[in-house]
Amino acid sequence: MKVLLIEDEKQLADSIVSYLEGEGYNCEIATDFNSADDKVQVYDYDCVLLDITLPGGNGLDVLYHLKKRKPDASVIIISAKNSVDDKIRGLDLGADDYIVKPFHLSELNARLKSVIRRRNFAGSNEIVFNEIKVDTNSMIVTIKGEPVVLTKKEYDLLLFFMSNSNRVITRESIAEHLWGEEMDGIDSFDFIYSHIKNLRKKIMEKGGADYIQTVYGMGYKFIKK
Amino acid sequence: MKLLTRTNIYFLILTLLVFSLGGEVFYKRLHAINKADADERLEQEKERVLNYVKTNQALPYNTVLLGDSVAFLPVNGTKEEKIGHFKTYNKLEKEYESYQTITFNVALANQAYQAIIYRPLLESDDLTAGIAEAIAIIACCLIIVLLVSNFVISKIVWLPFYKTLEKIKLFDLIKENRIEFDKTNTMEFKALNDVLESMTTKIVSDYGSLKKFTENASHELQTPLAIIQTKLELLIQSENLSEKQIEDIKAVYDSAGRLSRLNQALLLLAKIENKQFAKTQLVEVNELIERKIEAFDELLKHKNISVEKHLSPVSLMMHPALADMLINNLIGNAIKHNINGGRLTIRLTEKRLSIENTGNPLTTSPEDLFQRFRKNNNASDSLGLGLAIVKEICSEYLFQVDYKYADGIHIISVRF
Repeated sequence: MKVLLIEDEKQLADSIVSYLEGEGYNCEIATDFNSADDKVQVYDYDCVLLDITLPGGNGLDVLYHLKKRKPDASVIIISAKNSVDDKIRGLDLGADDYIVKPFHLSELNARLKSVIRRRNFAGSNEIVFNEIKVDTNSMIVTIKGEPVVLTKKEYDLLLFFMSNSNRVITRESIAEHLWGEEMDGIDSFDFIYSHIKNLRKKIMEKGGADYIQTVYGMGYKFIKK
Repeated sequence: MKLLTRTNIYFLILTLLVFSLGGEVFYKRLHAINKADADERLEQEKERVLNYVKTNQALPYNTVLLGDSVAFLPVNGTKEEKIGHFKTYNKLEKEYESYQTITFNVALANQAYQAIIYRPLLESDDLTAGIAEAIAIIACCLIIVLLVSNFVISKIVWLPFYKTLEKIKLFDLIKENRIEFDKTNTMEFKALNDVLESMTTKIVSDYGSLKKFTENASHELQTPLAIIQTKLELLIQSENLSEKQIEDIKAVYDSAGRLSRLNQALLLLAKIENKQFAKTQLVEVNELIERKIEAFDELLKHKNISVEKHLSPVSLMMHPALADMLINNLIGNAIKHNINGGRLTIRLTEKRLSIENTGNPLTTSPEDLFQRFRKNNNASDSLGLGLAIVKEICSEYLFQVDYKYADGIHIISVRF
């Protein structure tokens, strides 16, 4: 999987690349408008991560040029501007998703996977993790072939874990993934815990292994044994 | 008071002043002329009498004097010749009558006489009344003409001013880039329009740069925060961290997260203040509340809070993001400060929204509740900006928000 990261802030770009390479992506970086524009004109990527504010030009123009050449290109906008107008313009131009700085790497990774999944497997869309299978179209989860009934939140949580397997995921990033900004400032860790407890129980009831490990003081880890 | 009324009052006062002074001067002047004229006539009549006496060597009859009375008093020798004034009371007309008199000597062969000619003057009462009447008529006419012309002229003259006023009233900083006034030839209004035009242009450009600044501040702060957060996220992936290291990293991570939330909340407040949420659309508040209750469902269940809703269908013109935030913060606040097993009652009518929740009494004063960074419990994790944002949104739409506490129930109500 080839990903182009267009981001002028080197340190941030390094972090993102480091995380994504750990997930097996092949990342290229463009740090200004011209090199970004050149790259999207010449090469094909599975997904482009695009910062709007770039030295030398507006990232939305890169998006426009890219979409003109390759209308089905996948793009996730990374923006420091939490501006409704920018978001609407970006999505109108054909971006698949919009993520606002600062974000959790686990969140970016989950969204990237979701975007690529939607593009590549139009039709059947299955994620497999040992004995766990998730059909993201029908939202049906099976363990060893047997369906498991999960609530919406448990389903989201499972998918988030599977996207970030073998990574330490902080409780904050889980809370933000499940509830967005809605629960801002509300102590939501207690019911993250109860969701995780339920999810673990449901997986194990159907004969699945206990993949969810608690990382002391930090969060959780979904371990591929 | 309208400018026209004010100028009219001054005009009126001035007119009355000028006319009363003018009347006085007029009266005095007329009186003097009358007297001088009488004196002149008296001199002429004296000459005539003397001529008559000289020619006829006899005293004349009154007829030579064209209606003025003459009296001859026999005297010895000659008396002083003079022009004088004489006043007598006329019992018939019940008024004083004024006469101008001339006294002179007439000498016949055998007898010397003192002749006195009386010439009646215009009666001063009559004179005064006449003048007053004339002046009053003139003044009235003048005032009426003045008022009417003032009214008409000011309508015409002040027209550019009212047009300018109307333009400024309708000027909307968010929608318009600049203001353009109608051309006028009046120097003062031209100056006013020029000043207003350059002022609004400046305001618009300042507003623009302020907006830019807000956005830039957001960008500049969010990027380093993003770096801190992502670096920490990578760091915690390390395998062999000691417990102490994890604790430290966690503390930094939490603080960075808190800083980021704080920054976003402050930016939001600034954006609301800068009217960056100007677009409005009809928001169905009752449906929004239903959706929010649904979103908070887990939290409500977790705290065993029972919800009671009395919602009438209400639609308000608001920016959807602000409406969302308002309801979210209010309900979130009512859940956050609720007790386990407590109650949450939401009432919505055309006039008001009230959110009632059980909870422990406040430890701070209720006036501080909507202030920024005021928290009931300092140890809590909240930013202390939730209700400040509520207040800011409410003032944006001229809603009134207040707080009450009674019998263990906190009530926050918003009047539309």
